[in-house]
Amino acid sequence: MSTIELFWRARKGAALGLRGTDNLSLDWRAIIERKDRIVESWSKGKEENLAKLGIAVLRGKGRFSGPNEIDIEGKKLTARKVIIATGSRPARPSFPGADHGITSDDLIHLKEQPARLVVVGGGFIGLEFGFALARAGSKVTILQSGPQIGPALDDEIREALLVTAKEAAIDIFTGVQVSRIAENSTVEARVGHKNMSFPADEVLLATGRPSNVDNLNLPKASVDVERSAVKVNEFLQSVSNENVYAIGDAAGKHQHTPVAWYEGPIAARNALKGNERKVDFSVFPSAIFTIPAIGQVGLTEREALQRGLKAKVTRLPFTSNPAAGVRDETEGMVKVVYEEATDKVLGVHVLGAHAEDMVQIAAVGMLGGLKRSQLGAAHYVFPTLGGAIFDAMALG
Amino acid sequence: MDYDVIVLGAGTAGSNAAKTAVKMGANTSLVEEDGFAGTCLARG
Repeated sequence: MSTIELFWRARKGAALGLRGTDNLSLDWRAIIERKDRIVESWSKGKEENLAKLGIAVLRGKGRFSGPNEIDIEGKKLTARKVIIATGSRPARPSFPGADHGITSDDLIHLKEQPARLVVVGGGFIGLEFGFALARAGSKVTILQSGPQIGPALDDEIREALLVTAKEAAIDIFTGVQVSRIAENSTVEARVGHKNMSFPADEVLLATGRPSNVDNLNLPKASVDVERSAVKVNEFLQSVSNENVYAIGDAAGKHQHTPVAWYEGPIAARNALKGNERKVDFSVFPSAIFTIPAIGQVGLTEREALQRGLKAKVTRLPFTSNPAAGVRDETEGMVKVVYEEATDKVLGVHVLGAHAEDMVQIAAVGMLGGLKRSQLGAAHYVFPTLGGAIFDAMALG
Repeated sequence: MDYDVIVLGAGTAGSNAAKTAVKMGANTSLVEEDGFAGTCLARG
């Protein structure tokens, strides 16, 4: 996606005085091949390194055959504690012709860029791939079943994203019920009271990622499941079997790689030494890699109000940020949600270039308990995109 | 018991859990049916 963002930015370079950008082209296959090489370099040697540490690495499908027993394709092993870390996979919707669709796993292996992509699902994965393909030059249509895309986004950030999507020529339909995908990849759907059809070269199915726990024979170990993930307490321990822990996407709450990384040692320690450490997600920055990206930490304005907090907000459009102007990256905004009485920062939401990094400035401030006015008065490097965070704190 | 800890899945979460367990001196097994990179890293 970073390559596609570079492509998109470079194509806008004519306005900045770059010449030849009209002839710029994107080699989809080369991008996919480079991605494969990078992924391979990450996983290469990993198995040997784990074995070198003294871990018994076993290959095969493992499932429970008792509360403390795992069956690995016929071979039965017992353990005092079991940690479930089986990840997630894209959901396969149940409408007819779903087989004609592809998942995000498939999309990043496509040998050719689809000219027309229809995305079923307007959550984070649908938005990320929708934007990537649109910026790469595909014609993208996003079909969302619910009333709005990105349901977890702050409302104003969503509005700003819709403006950006329009500029990216992404067509978005909400309240869509897909009836089927035809063999020629045309999606037939009911949109409000109308029947519509959406022709496509590929249909991306992005309707969520259920955890890979359904084939683990969990009832054999009395491990309860909730919303397709292992139900755990704040120690990452199964609520129904004290010898079982679950982490990462298998525990399901936050489907992010850093969460998986963070939860591994906590679960291992709790499993071996007794429940000592709780997971803490009170300050948890995350990003959605649309182009430009969205970064968020803490509460949305709506969440703050729902919790009965007296929240106020400040907004800073990137058109007011000198660095964004110089870089010709003035899309988007920073929004700060804070508690009026205490001046505590409750949430920060960013849509714009490098939002994924910018939001971390806010997260560190929140972790340190800095008030909005303290962040607003802080010195910062000028001109920088990150300066928009500080300037937004100083407003209001 | 064959192991102190069996970790199912060698993605980001499982590998890191197994590393911690083995460093703590536990007899640790890690079971993987597929690859070793993790969901986000290998599959976007």
